[in-house]
This record gives sequence, structure tokens and C-alpha cells, in this order.
Amino acid sequence: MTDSLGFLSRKTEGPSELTLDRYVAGELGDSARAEVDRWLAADPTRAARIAERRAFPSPLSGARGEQLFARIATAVEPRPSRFMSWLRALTSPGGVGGLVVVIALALVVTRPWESGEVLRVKGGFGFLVHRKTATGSEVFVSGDIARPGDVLRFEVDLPEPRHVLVLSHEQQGTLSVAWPLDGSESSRRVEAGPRALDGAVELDEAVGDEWLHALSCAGPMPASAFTVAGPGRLTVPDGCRSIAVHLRKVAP
Amino acid sequence: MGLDRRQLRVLWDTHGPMVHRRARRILGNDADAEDATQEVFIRALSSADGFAERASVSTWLYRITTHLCINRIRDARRRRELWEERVEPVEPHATEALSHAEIIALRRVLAEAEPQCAQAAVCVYLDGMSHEEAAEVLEVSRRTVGNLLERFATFARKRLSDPDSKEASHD
Repeated sequence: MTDSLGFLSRKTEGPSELTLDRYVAGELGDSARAEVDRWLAADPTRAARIAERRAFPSPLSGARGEQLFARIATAVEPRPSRFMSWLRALTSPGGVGGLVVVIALALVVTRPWESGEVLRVKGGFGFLVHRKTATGSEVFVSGDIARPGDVLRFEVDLPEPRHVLVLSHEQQGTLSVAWPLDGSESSRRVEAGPRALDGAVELDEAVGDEWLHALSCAGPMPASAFTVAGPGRLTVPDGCRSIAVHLRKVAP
Repeated sequence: MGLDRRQLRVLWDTHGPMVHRRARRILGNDADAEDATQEVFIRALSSADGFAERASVSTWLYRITTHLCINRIRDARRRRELWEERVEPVEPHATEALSHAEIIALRRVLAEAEPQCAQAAVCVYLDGMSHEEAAEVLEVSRRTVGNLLERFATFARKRLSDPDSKEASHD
């Protein structure tokens, strides 16, 4: 193991990584820049070290890098309040379901919840995603970051008995049933009031945007009745309402 | 954050590759580096201190990246993974003076040493910075950098010559 201590006596020739990065970023003063220029000129192969600094390595070039940038840009945008996040989640699917919820917003009331206050929309229905934590669970706010392996449970709050289905909608446009978990590929009747849906799902390894659509219908409805209308949007049959929660899945 | 989308794009194009490369150098694999890169930019852009006042954005991002990555490799789960199958080769130029075994050993000690000592070690042993540059990144004096490296070296020698010795980290 003693051989592995070689790093303690490392002697570096030429500019440090920081100096080269500052050179590329245009942050060096005239004297330091000239020194790097001389070092580069002394050996033409050193130019490659500068060129490689101007681009992402292959795993993050192209679309992958753009996705990472988009996630960062979204994360640092001024965040709406929890209230607004919830309303946005309620209205994002658009269509009839979204419109009904918007009309009902005048009657919004709040009630206490396990991790703060969560909104309930009178006349519409509520959808909560709970994420398992080391000490219990937390309510997942639409737009937050999720990771493969996260364990989620769903809860709906219905003004009347309805048939409920939760669909997972990945950014590639694929739809799959996230609830019920019995393999029926169809909605299941749920009684009125706040109801935790049985079972839990674990997020797979795929990263990128994903939406969980809670669908509340007047009668039984197969998953095949819903189609993707665009990123985060579904075409919803008459008699159904929808709410979407947006997950931004990143690597663990 | 004080930056519009266009300004953020410029910042990303200029410094994104640097942050990712540095995170990869410390963490040893692309997946962790990608996650760290995202976190570094979010932290930096959410900071009360704006970019405009920074004489060197690179130095500032180096500091944030070093701090974040050291914290991550100290995580027990990641610590186990670091010297197992997930350690990938680093880019050839960055640590050309270090063998693969040395890099593995260095990361192992980084995970267990005192955080500030580990940060100084990353700057000097992994990045090849002078003590003066490391002092600028870590916002300490050159003398402090020397002291931190001395403590790190003592710990590394003990840890690597006696792998069964208990951790000596102090948070």
C-alpha cells in the first residue's frame, strides 16, 4: 500500500488545472495569460488540453448536456409558493379536467397536513404524492427532483366516489399504469374523502422528466382511453378529470 | 438568481464543462459528476452573492465543487462504492502524474480525512495547484494550506499503511 502514497510527493509541471480553466474563461491577467501562452507554444500537443476544456466530455455532450442545463435553469427560476405549485399542478393537464379545476379555484380552502398545509379544491379532487424518507414520508411538490429508487405512495381526495387511475408519463411519451398495482390496466373505484391508495411504487433507473397523472372518472375507464397530447399533457375522455405532478428525475 | 436565461446559458457554456470535469476528477465517475454539477450550479445561482462581484468565477465554482464533492465522498454509502467497481479512469491529462492505484488510494483517504484537509489535498495533489492557488480557492492563508496538507499526509500514511486503523475524521 506504500506505493499508493505517491500522490503525496507529486510534482506538477506547467500550469495547474485551475490556471488552465481560468485561462479558458478569460479570467487571467495579462502576465499570467502570457505565461500560459508560452507554455502552450512550447509544445503543440498541449493545445489539446485547452480544447478539451471548452466542451463537455462525451457523456454530457449534446442532448444530455442540454437536459442538465434545462434542469438547472428550471431549478433556479424564481420558485412559486407551495400554493402556486399546487395550483399549477392542478391546472397543467389542460382540457376539460383542468378547466373544471380552474373554475373551482374560487372555493379553495386549506386544511392542515402532515408537512405543512396542502390545498384542497372544493368541487374538484386532490392528488398527493408521498415520498418515503428515512424517518417517514414527505409530500412531493410538483417540479421537485426525484431519484431512481425513490418509493412513492399516492393519495387522492375525492368529493364523491370516483374511478381512479394513476398513469406514469415519461418524457419519451410512454404511458404506463402506476396505480392500481394489480395489473388490471384499468381504473378502480375509490370512496369519497382523502384516501391513501394501496401499495407503493419505486422509481426506475430512467432519468429525465416524468409526470404522474391522477385520473378521476365517473365510471370504469381503461388506461388505453388516455393518450399523450404533449409533454406533461394527456388527452382525457369525457367524464374524467386529471391532475399531474411533475417529477424531474436525476441520477442517484 | 439575478441572471436571465441567456446569461445563464453563457455561464453554463463557459463553466459547465469545468465543473463537471472537476467533479468527475474527485468523484471518479460520470453519473456522480453529473449530479454534482447540477447541484453546484443550483447552489451557486441560489447564493445571495452574485456572479458579477466575483473576480474569478472559476475559483468560486472550484470552491463550491470541492466542498460539495468532498461531502459526497464522505457519505458512507458512496465511500464503499468509491473503491469498488464504480471507479472509472480519469481523463489522461488531469492526473497524469498519478497511477490508478494512487488515485484510488487518494480518494479513499479523502473520504475519511478531515474535510478541510481533504479539500486542500484535492487542490494540491489532484489538481496540481500551488499552495498559493489552493489558498485562494479555500479562502485561507498559504500557511494554513501547508498545515492542512501536513495533517492530511500524516493521516494518509497512517491510514494506508494500516488499513484497519479507525477513521480519524473530525467534522
